[in-house]
Amino acid sequence: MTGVDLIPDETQASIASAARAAIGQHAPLERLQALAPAAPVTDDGLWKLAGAQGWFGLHLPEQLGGAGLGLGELALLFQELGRAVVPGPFLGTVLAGYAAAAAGQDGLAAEIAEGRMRVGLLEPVVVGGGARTLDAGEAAAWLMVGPDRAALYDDSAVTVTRTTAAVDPGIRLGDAAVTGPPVLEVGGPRLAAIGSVLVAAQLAGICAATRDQSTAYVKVRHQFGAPLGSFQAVKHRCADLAVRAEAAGQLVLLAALALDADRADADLLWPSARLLAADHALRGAGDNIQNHGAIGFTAEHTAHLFLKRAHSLATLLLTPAELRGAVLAAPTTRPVGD
Amino acid sequence: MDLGLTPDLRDFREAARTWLEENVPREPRPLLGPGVRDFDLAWQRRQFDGGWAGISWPVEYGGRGLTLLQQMVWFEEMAWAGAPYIGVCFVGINHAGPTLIARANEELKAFHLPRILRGETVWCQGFSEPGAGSDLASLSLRGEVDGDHLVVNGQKIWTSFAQFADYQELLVRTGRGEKAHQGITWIVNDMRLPGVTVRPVTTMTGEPELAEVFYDDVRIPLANVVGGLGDGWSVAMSTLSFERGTGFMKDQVELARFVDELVEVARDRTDRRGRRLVDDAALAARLATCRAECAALRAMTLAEIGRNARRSQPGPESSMMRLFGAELTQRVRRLAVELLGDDSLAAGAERRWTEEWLYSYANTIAAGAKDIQRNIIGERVLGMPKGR
Repeated sequence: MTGVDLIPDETQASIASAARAAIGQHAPLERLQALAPAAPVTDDGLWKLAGAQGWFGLHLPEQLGGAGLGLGELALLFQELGRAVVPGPFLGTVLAGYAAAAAGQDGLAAEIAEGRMRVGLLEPVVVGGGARTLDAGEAAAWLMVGPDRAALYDDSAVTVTRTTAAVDPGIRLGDAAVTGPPVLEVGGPRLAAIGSVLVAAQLAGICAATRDQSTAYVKVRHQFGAPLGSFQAVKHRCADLAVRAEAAGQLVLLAALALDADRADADLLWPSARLLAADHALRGAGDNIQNHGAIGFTAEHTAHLFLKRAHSLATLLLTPAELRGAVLAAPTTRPVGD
Repeated sequence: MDLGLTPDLRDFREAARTWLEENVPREPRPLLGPGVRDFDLAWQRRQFDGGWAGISWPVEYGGRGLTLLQQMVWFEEMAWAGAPYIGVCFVGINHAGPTLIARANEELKAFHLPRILRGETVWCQGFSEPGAGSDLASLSLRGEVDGDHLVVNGQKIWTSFAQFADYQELLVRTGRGEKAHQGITWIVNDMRLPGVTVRPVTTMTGEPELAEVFYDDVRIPLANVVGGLGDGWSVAMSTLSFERGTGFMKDQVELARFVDELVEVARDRTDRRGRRLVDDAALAARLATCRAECAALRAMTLAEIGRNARRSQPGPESSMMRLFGAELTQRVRRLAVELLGDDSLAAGAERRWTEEWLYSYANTIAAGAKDIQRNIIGERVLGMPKGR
């Protein structure tokens, strides 16, 4: 008897480990740290390898050039992207694949699955109108994901009028104007839910990375003649990093599987995962800086990259108020099967 | 990683649900007192007679020989059916039994396990001492071998349900090793042996749930030793891993149900100006956070079940679930009494929510204080050096 099982099987674990190796080769944290302010954030070598490894089509059916897997596998992949704070329009591209498949645009979906189209995210600007992207200069198409609707625009329908330096060195802020109709639209909340799970997965990856960075450091850094990690105040802060990483990581996987299976409890799980992962990632990134002391506050160290990315991710797609509303509105569901 | 909905698991859940609908006791569980032992044992016996006791225990000792996941499904259905708290059967079912299954010899297993499942015997734990709390390995209850008996003298404390118990998981110092955790023996003590005295201790919720236990030349047969004379520390660690790892799973399901109920309460109740409590943004945010955290606790529990299905007993990772769940319980229980406002002042009001809030302070002490859980996570999960 199987049933619900959150432990990745061999294939799933190998997707994550292959992604981690590819990221380590092409886009380690040090690359982001050294990135020039106006340089493109996407590493072309990684993007090409990602296409070859099938990242963009993990969730798409095989007849569209995908791997026929699901959101669970994508969540494992996006945990790895979060863990290394990998920059580039991965989220928009994967979500666009979902949108194209849902709209029956098979050719477009297949093109996306191969990694031949980079799709950036476009977000409406609440005050003053217009739109904003975190992927300016990185994409040839744009996806806008709202609570009840998603729309894909090609480059001719979106003009990026001005780019602004961002606090997060891995994003490229652009003011954008939508000047034409979308090439496709998908109604309903599903894309927002899927997108939120993948944002949560990246945040969970940050939780894991900050746990690991802190733990490694306090084992070797000595003060008062002993490793920092032997002092209970520090050890306990690291223990809390581990607990929060476990909570975020497992909830993301459960939410991903539930959403894929159209289970009734998915309505509660996906906003919960997104809300909790943002909280845990921000606290984890902060604790990680604290554990490193002054060096953690410098640009010479990589700790700040986690904090900045956690903050960017926490602003994506849905607001905290919308997420809390979704958590409270989710029906109480009695378990079936499992 | 899979959410495959298997027909046999669905059937199992359906059967559990049907049985519980007909068999959950209608009368409430009595408060801790003379009637509670009979009530708890009768409920355990009823589960056994219905074929629902020891779901993941081996068939040869009266269990069902099924998976931990099915055990979890059973806990979920019990929570939804409003089944009573396990009460005095907690130790026997949740950690004494599992410890015996993992570590005891055939004679002890064959004698004790069916009795625990049939609701014939109550167990208690004898680990903590006045001088050995978080520093459990410093325990000093003395045991001297005399022929084929261990003669025990000294004291234990914080023993839940001792006055109702037949047997006890007892840690005794029987040797002098170089390190504190050497020379400790894990032995089954019969609470009715001459020389055992129990003095109940009333907790801040008003119930005599804890006890001091005194031992005056208590002669325990050496045949009751589990894991070898002087080698009891690792057995004690098994016991604690079951207590932390699987012992609280039903509580966790119930906590999530309780938060769902709090959301309803916040929608129904109004403040003195007639505004719904859920329209208070600060309160709503706390409710949403608690609900999300209960979802995370469920995911952590499922992950723990997945890990445990691949090994013989829970590992140190279970402390993460225990710690998160214990602290979350305190937040949830506090939120509940805040929703009640001054309706929370009367003793026994609103299904004892205020007493449950008080009780939640035990969650970060029992089964290892939260500081010890953080040490375990730091040292045994993250591999950080020991220290102070």
